[in-house]
Amino acid sequence: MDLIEKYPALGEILPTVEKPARYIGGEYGQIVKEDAALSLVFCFPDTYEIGMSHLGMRILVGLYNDTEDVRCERAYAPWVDMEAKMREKGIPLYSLETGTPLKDFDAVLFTLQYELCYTNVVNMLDLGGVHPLAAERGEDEPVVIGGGPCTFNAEPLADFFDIFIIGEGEEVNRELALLELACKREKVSKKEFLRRAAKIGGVYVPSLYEIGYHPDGTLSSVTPKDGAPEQVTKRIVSDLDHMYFPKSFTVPTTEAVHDRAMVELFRGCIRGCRFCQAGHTWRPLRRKKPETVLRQAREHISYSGCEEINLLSLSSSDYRDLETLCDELLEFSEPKGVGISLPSLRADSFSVELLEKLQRVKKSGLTFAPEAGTQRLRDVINKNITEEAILNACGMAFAAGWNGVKLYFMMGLPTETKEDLKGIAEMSDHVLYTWRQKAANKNRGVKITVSTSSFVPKPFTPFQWAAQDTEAALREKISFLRDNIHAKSVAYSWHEPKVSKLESVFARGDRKLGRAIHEAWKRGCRFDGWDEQMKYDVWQAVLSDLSLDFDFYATRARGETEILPWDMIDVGVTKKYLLAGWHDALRGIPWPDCREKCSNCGARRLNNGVCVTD
Amino acid sequence: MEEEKVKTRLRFQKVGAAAFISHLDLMRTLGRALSRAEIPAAKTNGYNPHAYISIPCALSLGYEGTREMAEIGLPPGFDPGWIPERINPVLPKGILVTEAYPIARKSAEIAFAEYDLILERGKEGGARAAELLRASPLVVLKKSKRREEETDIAPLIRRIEPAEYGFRATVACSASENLNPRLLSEALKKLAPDETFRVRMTRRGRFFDQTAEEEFL
Repeated sequence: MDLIEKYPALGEILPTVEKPARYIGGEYGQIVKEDAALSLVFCFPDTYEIGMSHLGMRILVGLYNDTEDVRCERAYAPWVDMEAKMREKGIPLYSLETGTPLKDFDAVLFTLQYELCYTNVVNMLDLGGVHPLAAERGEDEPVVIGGGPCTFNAEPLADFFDIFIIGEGEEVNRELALLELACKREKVSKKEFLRRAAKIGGVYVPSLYEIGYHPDGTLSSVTPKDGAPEQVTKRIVSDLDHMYFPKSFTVPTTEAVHDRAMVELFRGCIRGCRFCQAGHTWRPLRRKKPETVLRQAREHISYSGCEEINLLSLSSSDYRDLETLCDELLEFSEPKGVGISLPSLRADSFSVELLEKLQRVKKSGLTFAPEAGTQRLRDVINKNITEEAILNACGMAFAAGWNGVKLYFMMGLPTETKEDLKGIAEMSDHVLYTWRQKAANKNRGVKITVSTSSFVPKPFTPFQWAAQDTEAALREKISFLRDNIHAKSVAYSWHEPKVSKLESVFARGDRKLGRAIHEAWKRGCRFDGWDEQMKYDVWQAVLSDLSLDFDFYATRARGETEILPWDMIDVGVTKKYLLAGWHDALRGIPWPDCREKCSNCGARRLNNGVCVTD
Repeated sequence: MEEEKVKTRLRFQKVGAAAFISHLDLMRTLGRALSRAEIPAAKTNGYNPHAYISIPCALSLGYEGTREMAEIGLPPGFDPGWIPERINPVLPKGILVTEAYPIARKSAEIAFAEYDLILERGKEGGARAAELLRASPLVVLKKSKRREEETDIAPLIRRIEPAEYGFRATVACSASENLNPRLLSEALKKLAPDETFRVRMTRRGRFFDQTAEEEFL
C-alpha cells in the first residue's frame, strides 16, 4: 500500500519538509513480508541518509528477512521539521515498508553507532507510540533491543532498553528472534522471555543487574539477578566466509552519505592504537578470503547498480591480498564504470600504483591520519607511523598528479603539550614543502587540509582511564594551532569541542544518565551530534537540575581500581592488557603490531584461541 | 556522449509517494536501474562517469506524472522495445517505464504541458476555478530564489477545462515560456481568497506545438 494512501496527511506535509524522499520508502530492494509470525522493525537513530549508509543494518535486515516466520522493516529518525509536522498531524513514526507504527511490532531494534543519537532513540520510540521507559512498557508493547558499538557501554541507555546485544549480530540476532518467536507462541510473560534471553551468549539484559554507588557517584557494586551471568561475553562470528551476507540490499532512492555497495575485508585490527575503540573491541582478527570478497562485491555491484564499491575494514592496507584483489575486482567493475574505494589507508604501506589503478574509474582524494603531531605523542597513542612515511606517501602521490591531501589529527590526547600541537603545523609545512619538491604539475596549486577532532576517551581502550581536556583547554589548543598554521594553501578545520564533550559524557557514562537523556529529550534535545541542533545549554541545565556533573563523566581521570560502568561486559580484550597499555602510553612506549608480535590481548579466547593476523 | 549512440526516449510514470523523488534523485535512480537491467546506456565522460540521462522540463517535487520522459543513448542495433520489461522489475515503487523508442522530434520542440489539478471540491471547484482563471490579465507574484516579481500568466495558459475531479490545464512548457501550475493555485488564492482550492497535481503529458495533432510525448 502506498504510504500516502495510508496516511493522507503525509501528502500535505511532505511538500513542506526538507528532503521528503527520506520518508516515502518503496526503494528498490526493500523486502515486504507481510504475513510473518514475528514482526521486527530495525531503527537507525539518525537521518535516512546516514542510516542507509550503514552496512551492519543492511546485513541484519537481510538476515531477519531471510529467517522463516520473521519479517523485518526499517525506520529512521525524522528530521526536526518532519517530526514537528508528524506530531501536529498525529502521524506516528512508521516503518518505510508498510507504514506500520513502531508500537505494532513485536520488537523494536536500534543500532547504536554514536553516543549523540541517544535522544533520537527516545524520540523515535515516543513518536512510534512506544513508551520510552522499559519499566513502564506494558506486556503488549514491543520489546526494545539495542546493538552496535555503543552497547559496549550502554549503561546510559539502560532505562530505555530491554535487551542489548553485545558484539557481532550475524548469529545472536537470529537466536534471539527465534527465542522471542517461541515465547510469543508459548505466550510467556515479557519478564520470563528476558530471563531466558539472558542465557543466550552475548545477550545483556540490563534490568537483571543491580548497580550500587559510592557517595562520590562511582560504582560500588554490580549484582546480577535471576541467573543472569556475572559477565556477558561479546559474540563474534568465527568464519567470515560462511557467515550470513545478503545477496541484495535496499538501494536508496535519494542520496545517502555513503551511497555505494559495501563489502568487508576483515574484522579486527592488528594496530592497537590506544585511543581506538573499534581496534580493540572487534578483535580477534578474522578475515574474508579474497574469493569471498570478490563474489560478494560482484553480487552487490550487479544487484544495486551503484557506481562505487567500498571495501571496508579498520585498516585496508593491512589486508594481505589487497592489490591482487583490487586487480581482479577492477576487471569486473571497470567496464561497468564502477569505482573501488578503500577507506583507512595507512601512509606506511601506501602504494601509489594501487591508487592510480583505482583512479582510472573514479577520482578520489587522499587522506592520511597521523593523529598526532610529534613522534613522541604518536608513540604514546601507539600510532606506529613516522613523519617520514607520511611525507614519502604524499611525495609519491604529488608526483603522480594529486594536488591535495587531507591530514587528520586528534587534539587533547593524554600527555599532549604545545610542542605536539606545533608538530601538527610543522608537519603540514613539511607536506607543503614536499609538494614543492615533488609535484608533477605546480600550476594547479595545492590544498592541504588539516582537521582536528577532540579526543574522547572510550571504554575498552587503554585510554579508558584518561581524563578528557576541559572545553576551555580544547578551545585554547584550537586557537593555538590556528595561530601556528601560516601557509595559505593549508586550511585548518576543527570539530566543535562541545559535541566532543557531550560524547565523552555518554561514552563512559553510567545508568544515572538515563534520567538526563529522558529529561533532555523532554526539553527538546534531538540530533545532538549535529552542531546546529545540539542544545548545549539545555544539556547543562538538565545535568545540573538532576545534580549530575559533566566533569564527573568527561574530565575526571578514572581510578585504576574503580569499578567501571561497563565491567559486566567482556569484549575479549582483558582489563589487565588495557591497563598495561595505559601505563606504557604514559611512559611513551609503543607496542609492536599483532603481526610482528602477539601482545596477548586476550581476544583470541573468543575464537577458540584463533587470531588470524595474516 | 559518443556520436554513434542512438538517442532513445523512455516514457514513464512517477506516481504515488514516488512523486516526492526529486529530479536529481530520479536521474540517479534511472541511471542505476539501467545499470541493474544491464541496458548499455551511454555514459558521461566526467570526473565521475555515470549514465547520460536527460529529463527535459523537470517535474516539480510532489507532482505525479503519468507520461514523463527521459532520454538516454543506446548503441545502434539495441532494440529499445526490450527496455520496459527489463527495467521495470528493478525500479523503485511508483516508477514504471511504459515505452521506449528512438527519438524523432527533439524535446526542445515541446511547447505545452497538460496537468490535472485534482481539487477537494471536485467538479464544483473545477467549474469555479475555470471561471476565475478566464480573467485576463492574470497577475500573480512569481517567486524565485533570487527575487519576486508580478507576472501576467494569462498568455501562458492555453486551455482550462473543468472536469469531475477538478480541472485540466494546458499551459506553456518550453525553454522560453513556462508556467508552473502552482501559479494557477496562487492565482485562485488571489482571486478568491475566501475559497479553498487545495490541489494535488498530475502532469499528464506534453505537446510539441499547437497546430499539430495533439501528440503526447
